[in-house]
Amino acid sequence: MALYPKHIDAFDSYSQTGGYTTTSGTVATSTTQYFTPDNSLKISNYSGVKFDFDDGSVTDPTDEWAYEFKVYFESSTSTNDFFVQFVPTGNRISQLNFDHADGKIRYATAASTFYDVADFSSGEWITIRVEGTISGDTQDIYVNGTLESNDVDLREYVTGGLDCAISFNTGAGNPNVYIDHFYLYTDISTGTETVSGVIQNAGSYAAYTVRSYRRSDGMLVDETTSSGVDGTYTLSLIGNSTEEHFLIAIKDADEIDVIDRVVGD
Amino acid sequence: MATIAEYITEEGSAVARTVFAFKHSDGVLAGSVTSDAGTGEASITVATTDKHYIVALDDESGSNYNAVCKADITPT
Repeated sequence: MALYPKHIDAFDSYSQTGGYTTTSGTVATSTTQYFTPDNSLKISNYSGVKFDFDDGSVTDPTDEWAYEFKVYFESSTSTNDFFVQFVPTGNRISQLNFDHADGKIRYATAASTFYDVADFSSGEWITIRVEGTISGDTQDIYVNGTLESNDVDLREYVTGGLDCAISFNTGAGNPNVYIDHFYLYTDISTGTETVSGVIQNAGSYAAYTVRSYRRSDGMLVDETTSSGVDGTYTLSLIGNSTEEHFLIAIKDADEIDVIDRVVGD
Repeated sequence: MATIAEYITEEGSAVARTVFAFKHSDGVLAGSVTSDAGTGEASITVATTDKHYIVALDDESGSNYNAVCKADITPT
């Protein structure tokens, strides 16, 4: 089943599409640190921010979900954790804690039950991607593109948790934290722009990996495999029918075709 | 950290263009830069030495060209 973008935000001055809600403290876009190309979202000491879906709806995924973000810590001087919570269904939570005391990323299965994922350091951008399913109540956790925790448990529901939303929170005394290139996906396709096409190689239909990217900032939007029977593919795009994208089709390791300036159907 | 260094030209001349680098395995954006107008050099710092591909986009002025992609790049 495909995953569709429900909220994508690079916090950039020209491509802001999502928006966010400050739940506590001080949260603002910043040019102090950023991935690419210009801004990030700065979460100051003892602050919190949450993201809902772009359309404001609270619609549970049917099964699959994923979120991804880049995070940068100014220092590691705090003894309190920076933590992220995603609530896909209302009865399970994907929770990641970044422990400044020992430089460990951990996932939680209960209030005080944590398991190591990987080490992290301040002063550099870290890419986190988490993919999960409701049917399995499990998740896969990637750090900088490497699968570090495979098929591990989610956390039991927390009373007052945010339904179908994700939150980022710094503790008291935390250093400034910056997040960038935030993605939230579910398997609900309603309201998503798409583009379709056919892949052929030397006159024969081909099953290639096909990806869509937003042209303004290079953000990966969707990926699929074209049909080996008729070559067809459908990819999600972002925003409205004027937002330009480019598509790539991977023939093999050293041959990739690209189509530029694609907009939604 | 590792670096990708490529040169961007248009009709044989160095140009300043937006260049994105993506990790081949998952397609996620690894970095971006504007190539140097004088030399065409696009030097992008990425997190790993895994295989990457780059995409260079045409700008808004002059003749219109499709984007170009170079694959099978190992950062050094």
